[in-house]
Amino acid sequence: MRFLVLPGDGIGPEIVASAIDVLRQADRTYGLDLAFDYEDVGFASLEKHGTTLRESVLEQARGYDGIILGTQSHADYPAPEQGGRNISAAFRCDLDLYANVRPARSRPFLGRGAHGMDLVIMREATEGFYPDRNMHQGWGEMMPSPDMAISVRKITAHCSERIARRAFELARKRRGRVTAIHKANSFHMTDGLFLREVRKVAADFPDVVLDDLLVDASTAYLVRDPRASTSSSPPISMATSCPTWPANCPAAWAWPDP
Amino acid sequence: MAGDTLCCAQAQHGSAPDIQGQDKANPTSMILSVAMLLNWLGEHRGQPSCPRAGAAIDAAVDAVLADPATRTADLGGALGCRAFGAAAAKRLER
Repeated sequence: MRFLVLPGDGIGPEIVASAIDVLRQADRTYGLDLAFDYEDVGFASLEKHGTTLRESVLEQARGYDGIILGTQSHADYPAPEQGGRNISAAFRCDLDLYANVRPARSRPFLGRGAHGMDLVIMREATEGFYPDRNMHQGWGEMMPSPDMAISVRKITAHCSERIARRAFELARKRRGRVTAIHKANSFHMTDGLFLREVRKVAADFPDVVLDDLLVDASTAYLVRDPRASTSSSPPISMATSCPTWPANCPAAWAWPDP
Repeated sequence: MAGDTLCCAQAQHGSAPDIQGQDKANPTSMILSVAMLLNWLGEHRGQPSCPRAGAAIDAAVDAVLADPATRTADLGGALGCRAFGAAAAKRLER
């Protein structure tokens, strides 16, 4: 198997080097037959090629068995017209890497953080409020006047359905439970659509329990009782795409775990 | 981040430019992400050795974190980024 390695900015090259050391040993022990090709992205690419992400790297990535992407300092990149392309966004949208799979498990022996947390947040990554990825043409925010800014949020049945399905599939391998995180009490149409699709998917998984939480309540539960956000045992959460967690962003989380 | 036909391992944190190049970063997230990539390959490409290696990496990282002597500075330990990776790799040896 051949992996494309993109070390990126900041600590990216260091953490990627450590991960590659681990993979090389895993290869020796388990016979994975791994090969690695490296390309520059981020500031290294900006200096050499005038852009943080060349289109050719994105195209090349499609031909690999896997991609390993380090961190990016994209808040410090120049404007897109000056070559500062958001690498994560480009990978998510152009390669349709729509599922951000974010496990969170506490290690009691470290003696810090919430004990007993073991959940996976499945976050949709290709639509929602992100202005750089929710429009076919143009940009999903605008300023009618210097003191007024408007943001557009896109939720589709297609993207809601597929992130929900991934969450239920994962839940089935874990504890058989999904929690949809949303704000449908305020966002009747967008989060309503999201919930409608989640419930349709749930019908295909009678062995998985679905519940749902308002996004603001969900954050309180994470602090108060990380083991079980609403009922007895832990989970998988699934969320629609929201750049920030607090209200105004719908999300669903599915929490499965054995 | 994963799609239907491709998967990309990516640490879920930022680039921490304040400690860049100092061998201080904790690579746990990146290492566990490549383990997730192996698990994804096991599921989507039917490579049976991949999920075995993925599970072994998960266990190796937990074992390294469990020992106070092999933690990185953010967790009160003395290991650098490279040495932490090497300690996890060592646990994968047969």
